[in-house]
Amino acid sequence: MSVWSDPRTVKLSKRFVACADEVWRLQRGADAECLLFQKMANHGHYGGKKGATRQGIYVCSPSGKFIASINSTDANKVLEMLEASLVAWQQLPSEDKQLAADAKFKPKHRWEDSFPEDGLVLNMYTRDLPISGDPQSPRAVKWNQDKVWFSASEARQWLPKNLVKTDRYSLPQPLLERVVLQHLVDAVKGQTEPFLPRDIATGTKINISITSIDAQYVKISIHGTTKAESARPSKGTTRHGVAVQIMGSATFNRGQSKFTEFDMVAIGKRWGKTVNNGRRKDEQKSSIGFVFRMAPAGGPRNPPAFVSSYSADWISRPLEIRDEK
Amino acid sequence: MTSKTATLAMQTITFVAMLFSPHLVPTIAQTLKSDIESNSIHLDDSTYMSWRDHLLPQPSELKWQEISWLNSFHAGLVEANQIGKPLLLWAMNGHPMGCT
Repeated sequence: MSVWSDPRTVKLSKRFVACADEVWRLQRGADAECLLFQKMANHGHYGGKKGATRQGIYVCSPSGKFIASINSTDANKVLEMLEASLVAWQQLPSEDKQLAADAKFKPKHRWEDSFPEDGLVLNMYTRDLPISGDPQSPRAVKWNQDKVWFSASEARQWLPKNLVKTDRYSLPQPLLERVVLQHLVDAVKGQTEPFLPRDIATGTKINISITSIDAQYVKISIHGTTKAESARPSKGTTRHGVAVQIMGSATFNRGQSKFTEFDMVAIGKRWGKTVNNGRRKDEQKSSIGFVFRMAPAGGPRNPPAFVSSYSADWISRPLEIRDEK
Repeated sequence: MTSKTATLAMQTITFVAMLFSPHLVPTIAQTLKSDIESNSIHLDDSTYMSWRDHLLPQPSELKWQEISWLNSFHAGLVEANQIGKPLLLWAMNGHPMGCT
């Protein structure tokens, strides 16, 4: 059982304000929010180690004063830290418990600000598949999830321009690349890296057929075959790839100009390893699966893991990334 | 041309022809297919729902969602300040909401 699925942790968390965030930006950024995190985290479990990750679980006061931290997947150890932190919180002087009235640390840039309100937002889940090939077999314990973003204009490109019942329409290359390069990646056991356009195998395609159409709805079926392979071995990384077969269906509401249903499954193979994707002892080709579904309206606005690699001008980028281009 | 040479020439022609035979040279689609398929895992109309359900997280795997996570350090600091509680921050490479 993971730390955050443990009922004791869930219960104890109510005595805190809980937040989750991506550490790379917090650790390296130069805006006030990032600097506050860096100052706080330098007192934590990895404090003082230059260049080391600052991943972990932290407790701090609203003023940013460090209280306790740990980086562990052991619920007992995390509970111990949380309980100790509550004792320390009680002993904190009241001035340390509050944010200074003139404190300004609103970040200059957050990827969430580009959330495509009127577009298509998908939840993606990925998991290793059983060797038996039987979907009734027990599920692999490790899985991961991500968000997939399309603007309203991009979402419309999942349909042909002219809405007539047609045999075949190919998903345009920029959208195909987003699915294949940024989302059909092997992140089941840990963080990985996106593929590059040159990694896409010839023949990779996603085809769309209109299965029914009336005044209100257009229903489509989705079929595809994709492969991406990176042959750029570097330290900790070997030749690695993902090749899948894709099936799915979706419903587009013509009046609202948006999808109301989207359901897509990709099943195939992954191989090789990247620096942090947990495949160090698992480089051989094995089966992997992905499912993409409409994210419920009003859900979290978390950005896709590789949103910075999205080729999309509607995504606002931080200055340092814009400057690199 | 001796019969031996003629036989050798015929064998060579046959071998070259086989090399370029559409039955022996894998097409792109066939290559991709062999990359994807194993002997045991197939995705088609009859298995689609089963594999989809297999891949989706189970309720027991989503218990972490019972915690009211805010999605940024900044949002957490503001709320912790407003309601007078300590801040619990879970910070990971990649937004950690999925890494349960």
